[in-house]
Amino acid sequence: MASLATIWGRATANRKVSLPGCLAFVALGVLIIAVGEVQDWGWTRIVGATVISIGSIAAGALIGWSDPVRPRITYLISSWGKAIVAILTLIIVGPMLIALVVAFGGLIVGGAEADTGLMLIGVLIAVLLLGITLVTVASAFSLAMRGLWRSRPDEAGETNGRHSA
Amino acid sequence: MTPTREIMWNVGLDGQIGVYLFLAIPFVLLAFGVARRVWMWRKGQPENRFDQMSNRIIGALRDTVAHGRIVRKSSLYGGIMHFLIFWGFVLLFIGTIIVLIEHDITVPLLGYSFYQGNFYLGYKLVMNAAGIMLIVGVLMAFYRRYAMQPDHIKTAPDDIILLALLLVLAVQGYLVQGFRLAVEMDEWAAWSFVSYPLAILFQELPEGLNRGLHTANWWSHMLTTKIFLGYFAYSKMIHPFTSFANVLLRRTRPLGKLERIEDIEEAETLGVARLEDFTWAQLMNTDACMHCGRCLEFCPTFVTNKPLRPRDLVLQVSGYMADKGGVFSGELGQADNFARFRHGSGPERELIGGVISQPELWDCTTCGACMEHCPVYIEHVPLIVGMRRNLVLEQGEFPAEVTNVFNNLERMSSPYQFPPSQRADWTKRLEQPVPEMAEQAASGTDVEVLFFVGCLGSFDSRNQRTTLALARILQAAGVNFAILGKEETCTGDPAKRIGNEYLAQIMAEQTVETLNQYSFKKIVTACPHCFNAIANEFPEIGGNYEVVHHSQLINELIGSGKIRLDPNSEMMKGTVTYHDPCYLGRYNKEYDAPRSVVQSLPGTGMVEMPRNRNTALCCGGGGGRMFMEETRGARINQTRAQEAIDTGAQTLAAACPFCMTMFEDGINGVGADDVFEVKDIAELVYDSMVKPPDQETGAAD
Repeated sequence: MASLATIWGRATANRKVSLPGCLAFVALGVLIIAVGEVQDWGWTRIVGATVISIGSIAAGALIGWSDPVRPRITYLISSWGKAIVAILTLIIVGPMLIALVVAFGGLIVGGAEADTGLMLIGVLIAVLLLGITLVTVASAFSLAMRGLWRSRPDEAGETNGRHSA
Repeated sequence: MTPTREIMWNVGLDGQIGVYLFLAIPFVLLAFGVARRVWMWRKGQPENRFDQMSNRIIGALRDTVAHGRIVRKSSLYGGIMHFLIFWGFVLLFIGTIIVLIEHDITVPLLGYSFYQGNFYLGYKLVMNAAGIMLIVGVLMAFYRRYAMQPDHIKTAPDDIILLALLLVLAVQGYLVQGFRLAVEMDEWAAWSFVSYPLAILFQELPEGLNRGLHTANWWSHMLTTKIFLGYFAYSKMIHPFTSFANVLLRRTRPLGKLERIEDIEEAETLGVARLEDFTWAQLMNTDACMHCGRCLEFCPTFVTNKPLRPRDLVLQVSGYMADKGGVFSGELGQADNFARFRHGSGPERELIGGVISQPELWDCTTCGACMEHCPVYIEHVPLIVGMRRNLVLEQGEFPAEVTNVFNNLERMSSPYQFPPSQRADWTKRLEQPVPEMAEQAASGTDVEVLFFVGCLGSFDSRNQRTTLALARILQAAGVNFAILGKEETCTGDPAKRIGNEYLAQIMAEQTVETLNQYSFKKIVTACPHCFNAIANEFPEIGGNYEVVHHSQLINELIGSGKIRLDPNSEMMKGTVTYHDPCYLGRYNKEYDAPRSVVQSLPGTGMVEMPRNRNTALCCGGGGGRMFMEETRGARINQTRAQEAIDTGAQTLAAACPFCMTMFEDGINGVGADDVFEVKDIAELVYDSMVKPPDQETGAAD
């Protein structure tokens, strides 16, 4: 029986064949889940999720295990870094900030029968969560922006990976 | 009604498909990052780290999951902070898995639901508490980075991005739950004790708004999870994988043992000049670093502001590996920049000189403080010595002062320019003769203890006083002992730590060959460096002996009453502080015997320096540093001597000839030689003990 390393070796050697195979696996998983959800077959979720996971993990591992290729993606990420960070930040914190601000509306429109004590605790929690979220996300955002500026491809090579720590 | 909730409440078909569909991207990224790291590690040389698996697994669980090596007295705040973040996150992750099992496995496949009743109520309670743990841990981390700002912590963008992501995930969880409760308001809603008060607020809003905000926050939470997963392998968040692997596959050999270069005559490369010259485990080591900075806290070079900072050295090698690995195969958080997130820009750089500077390599005292305090068992010293070996053996580059040491070792078998015939000259100052092993063997006399004097104890005039004191103690206690005399040779420790492995092997083999000619029960030595070499490095070259440090033997002799201390002794009155030699303490875990000896001295009080036992600051003499000039930063020996003086003690008790030499200089250097002195514990004991009539000379010398 061939060892796992041998099988892996063959797979990586035939990456051009294996990679589309992995992606086909992912597509199959998505299809299984979509059909299952439309048909209301609960069991397809775990089957589809497993197929997607196997396909995507195999694809990632296959690329990761191969010799590095021309790093176009990194250039792309570096060039679009600021926009990517801004969009992701919006997706991550936009809805929660709206929710936390809206929570105060509950205090304003609160009916007479509302439990004042619990509402005050709710306000306290909302204020706390809003405050710590704003502070942490703002710090992370500004540091990410600064970090991305430093890591632009045309500048990165000059730093030689050394730092001032 | 049975307490439970509808999983995927208020989530449409798009969400139900999306939650699985969006798994693919983070999984590809995660698998790529992990595979690329393993691919890079495999470039290293082979090394067996797969023995004693059951011990390894138990140890790894103890040190990581149970936080055995993370929550420590010396770093309690950081330890508790990590505990809260880790367990908060793990509990929430387990909670997600429980929901997945219910929703996707047991209900659809088996028709069985467990997510209800008391289990459900307990689940809600634990999940709400876990969220608080996570948030408190993250806030503690923020406070430490922005308010406390300890010297050893350097904040990188990645540190803050990760903390923010963790906090956001927890807050989103409370909000999503709060909106659902606001609409459903279950009888058991109060079990979700954080979301419930929020739900009371939300309840006052229109239901449609609550449902809409629930959907928006659910999607946001789901996407944040996927972003977090995708980012995982390119941030320090990978450390649950790399650190666990590193702890699992940690070194099991003694800490004080430096690996030999096998078949040194035949080896193609001597030491480490390229990434590929490290072993795979060493490469994994560098990837496991999450730059917590604990290796710096007690590092003498960091404390005295020298170029070498063990954490940065490890990160530089790791960054170099990431560069060679190509596409963002490394960690985003390397100090100030996104170095590991770059394209492969550095393959042209040389490892030594390009990535790691020579001053960094030569500043190391090999004291082991970095390795002792690293929560994930990164081995900094072997990395450094590996590169030193290449500099010495292949490039012939080393500090000029060391040339004489190598020459003397080659010609005189000691770092000093004294002929072997003078090794036992110190015995002439004793009242009673000290037999040599050769004489005893020739006359067929049994020898119980072989006193391995060591080079400093034999030739250095200050350390000879320790040797004399120990010999007199042994004689007074009636110990049957002998020395090797002119046959004794250096164990090779200085040469080995400086990087001259070739010479070190010759010295070690020569010493073992000599020792193996004779019969004795155990070896005693006053030198922790000799002790370490004999105990940890000689066995693999056929030298298996029982070896004790003189502090252990003296402690035993005092305990058994073979040495009696004079309560009226005028020699020692006052306070003593004890310095832990690195090669006795950190490397061989002997902290108590020397303290016990000092504490037994009549009329003497003992006071500890703030940095003591495994947190003790090195004297600056290890790793061959005693023979080199100290030109960068503050002087380590003076820094430590000042710490000792600041305790208010009058005497510094030493237990190592290297420390003795360094502190003699250090005390002079800070101008305290008229009010403060350093003495070996053997001298302190000899000065205080009831002496036999022929030794009534007073002081040890």
